[in-house]
Amino acid sequence: MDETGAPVSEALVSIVESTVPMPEIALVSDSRGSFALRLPPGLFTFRAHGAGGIGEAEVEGAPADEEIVIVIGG
Amino acid sequence: MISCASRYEETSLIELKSVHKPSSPFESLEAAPEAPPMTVGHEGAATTEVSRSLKQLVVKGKSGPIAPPFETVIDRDDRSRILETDLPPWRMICALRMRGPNGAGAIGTGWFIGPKTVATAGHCVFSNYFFGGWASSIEVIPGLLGTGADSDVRPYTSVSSQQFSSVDRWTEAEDADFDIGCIHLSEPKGDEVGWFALAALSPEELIGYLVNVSGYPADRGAGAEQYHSSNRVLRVTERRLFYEVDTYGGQSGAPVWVHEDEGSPPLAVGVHAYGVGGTPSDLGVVANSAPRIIPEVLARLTEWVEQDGGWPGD
Repeated sequence: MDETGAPVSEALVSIVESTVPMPEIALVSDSRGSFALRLPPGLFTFRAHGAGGIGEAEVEGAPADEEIVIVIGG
Repeated sequence: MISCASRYEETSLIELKSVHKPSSPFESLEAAPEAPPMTVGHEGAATTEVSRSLKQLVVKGKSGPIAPPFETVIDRDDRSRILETDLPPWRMICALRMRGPNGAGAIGTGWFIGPKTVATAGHCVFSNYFFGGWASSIEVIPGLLGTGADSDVRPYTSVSSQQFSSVDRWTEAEDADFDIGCIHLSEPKGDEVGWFALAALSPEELIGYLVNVSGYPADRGAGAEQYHSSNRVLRVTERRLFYEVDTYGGQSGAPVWVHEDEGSPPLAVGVHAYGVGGTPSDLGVVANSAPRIIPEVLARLTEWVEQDGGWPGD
């Protein structure tokens, strides 16, 4: 989402740091600004590039159904 | 020339089975052909113009030792944008637009290894983490030059596929050492754009080589611009290749290639797949990495090209 809380579609989300090997793929957020993936146990830093800038979030894997929120431009 | 005879003696023998995205529950597989020691590349028939970027950016041959302090520096971004993506070898490299069964979208990189076959990372075609299994469809865009859909940025248009292959060590265990896959195309786009030669070089042969990596990162140009970087091979393990070459998410599946000398063609030796988080700490380097094209991997890549009709003159 952006700083106002509006969804950011077509943002590209990558894992830029992790305590376990993670592939260098980038996920694309959908029209609701959402993306989904499973995570193994470990610590992960997500970075999103989208309209309005860049955002990061640190996440501890891997409980299912946990929401990751990345504020772009924040 | 690189000697091929010893390459099959360097790694312990493993059995690596090809796995395909099922098209029917009754699909049967023919026995895999034996792999050649090296495959032959092709520049493509589209144009014969020589890329200036190829002359200026691409590194060739081997380097002397790099002083230790430089081996820990990876945060300086040395990537260069490629604008001549209509010329070889850049046009052999493709932006990938993957979609999973649940609608999840992702981007990656692939590269032609035959007329109708595009090599990439295994996780671009199969990933429990990203797709919950096999990808549903992948759009392959050779030499993408920017955002949009017109011919100015898509010099060779694009082609979509739902036929993919990987190896059992990837689909069953997602073993990073075997993170390879391919996309089977219905049309021989490679005749136009060309394809990379492949070789299973031994660790001794790889050490000291200058390697090139080029692909479509998410942090620059929204995954629609091709960036190249190069450096020296830092470490080689039995199945992985480690190098201090700048990459980013979206470049998964990019070719890692060498040139034996100034006049030799590009020779792919690995499939880029992991950033620094994928490097074991006991190696003592900060590096990105690729599964190597070991003999067993070369056999599978060859098999996949053969399944698509093979190379001309086979």
